[in-house]
Amino acid sequence: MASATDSAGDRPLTYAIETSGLTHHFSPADRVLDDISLRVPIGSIYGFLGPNGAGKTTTLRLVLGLLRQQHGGIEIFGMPLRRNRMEILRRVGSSIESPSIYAHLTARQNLSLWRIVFQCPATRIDEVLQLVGLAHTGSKRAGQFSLGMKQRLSIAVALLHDPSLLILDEPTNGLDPHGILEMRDLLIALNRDHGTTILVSSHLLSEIERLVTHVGIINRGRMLFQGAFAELSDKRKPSTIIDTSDNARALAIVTDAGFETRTESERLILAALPPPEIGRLNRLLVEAGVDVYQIASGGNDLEKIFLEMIGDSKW
Amino acid sequence: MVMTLLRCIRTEWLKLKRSFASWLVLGNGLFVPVLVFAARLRHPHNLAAINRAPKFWEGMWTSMWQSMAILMLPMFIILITSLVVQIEYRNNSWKQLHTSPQPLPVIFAAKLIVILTLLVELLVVFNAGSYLSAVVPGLLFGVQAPAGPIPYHLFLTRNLNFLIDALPMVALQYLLALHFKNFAVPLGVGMGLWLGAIGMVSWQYSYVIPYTYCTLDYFATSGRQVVPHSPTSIQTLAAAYFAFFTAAGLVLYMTRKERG
Repeated sequence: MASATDSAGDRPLTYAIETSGLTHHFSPADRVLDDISLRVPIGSIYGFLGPNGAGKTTTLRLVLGLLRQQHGGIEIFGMPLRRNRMEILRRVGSSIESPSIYAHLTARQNLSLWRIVFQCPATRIDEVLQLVGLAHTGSKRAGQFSLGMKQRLSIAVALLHDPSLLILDEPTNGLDPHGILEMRDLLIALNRDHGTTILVSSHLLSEIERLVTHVGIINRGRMLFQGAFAELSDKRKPSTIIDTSDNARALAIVTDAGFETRTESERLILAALPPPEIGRLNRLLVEAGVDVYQIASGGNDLEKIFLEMIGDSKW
Repeated sequence: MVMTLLRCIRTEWLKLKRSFASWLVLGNGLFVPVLVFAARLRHPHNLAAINRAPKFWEGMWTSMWQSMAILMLPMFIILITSLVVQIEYRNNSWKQLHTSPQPLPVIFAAKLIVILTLLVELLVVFNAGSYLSAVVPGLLFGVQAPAGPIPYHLFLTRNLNFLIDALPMVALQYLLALHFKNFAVPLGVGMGLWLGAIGMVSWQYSYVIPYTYCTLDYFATSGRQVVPHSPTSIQTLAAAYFAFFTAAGLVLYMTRKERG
């Protein structure tokens, strides 16, 4: 578990990661991050979302000290990264971009290396191999693994020293649907049972929406949304969906009755209606000889909200 | 810090498992001894005369070290430094290494120490191979063993001198291998400097070129060629260049904008 106070021990620690005004450019004309204030609450599973090239990996590389800081500050566990790099890295596990594993070594040999660095007990190797489902790989070299297996091994390396904070960049890349589900369950279990704070990046909301407790959305180097996942869910606009035997005629009837209606995927979409209005609408359609197959409540799915958010963002 | 360094060296050593490093040590270290061994087997009738020579061991050293000092040692240094550093580039693992709780100077030093250890290994293998290639053919054909005692002290001193002579090459090749992701750069630059150095050995100021030191030292000790007079010993110059290239390599390594 991450400590509950900051490095001085006198202030309750709210965030595992807190950046302020983080700005970065690879060339003067190419600003890849603009005033990023990332706040990852202690004990959360934080989904860092954005399309490819949005600045997710650059942010994570800065947070891990893989890129030299240009502007802004980074605090991890309440400690400035610049001055406390070693102490911070002892408590952080990470897997950034493509898997970092030694292809000429076996999974066990790879983990043995890092076990020496992190000075963890030898039993941890079996534990993490079991955890990521690679216990059976024996003398097979990591270079002969599938991409999914390499990804798992990379995550095993990140988990080896039982870190308080886990930073995973697109961890489901290369995993099959079953592997994605397993990964999700694993991360949820780590968070629930060990209190591990997890920062996980992805370009697909659907992939992490059942995993995260908090979310940050970034596009073109700017943070567009940050908060509890529930806050993002609240942005769903409720609606009423109607499907009939003759949707074209139904559209005319409903519009004549004074309802604002549009069609989507050959179904009628109306604003959310109170139950009496739904009853009246149903009666109108049935009396006009249109068979009603379905009247359901719906809303924008989160993916759509996400896409609208990143589509609307401008510099 | 010392414990961190020792742990880091251990991990760097483990990374060489199943790599080409051991083959490189064996291949380079045994190449000349195997050739000499084969030549002696091919002409067994000469063995008795060779072994009876009053300065057999000094003669053997001179013939063995010619190829080693001028050819095999520089080649080995250029290849082994690239191999050790390329393990990180090839496996995309710099980022994992640099997000581990190990100070950058420790990582830098650990890799350099591993390279130097492999260099010492090469010399051990070469000396052992040389001894066997001198003794075993005689045993096989029932010829009397080489005359005179082995001049251990002389051989040890000369080995140590060659090790020091090679240090600037190690440090500069290490700097290049760390700085350039493309392995062709340190290989190409190293080969260019080495070939250029061979061509300039006779130049009166050749002692300013650190890649000439092994060759100059060989010529000086074997007496096969007059070498230009340097203001101080080759080993002192080599140690100074080594310190400079190592410091430069460390500064470049620590001030990199991107670490994986």
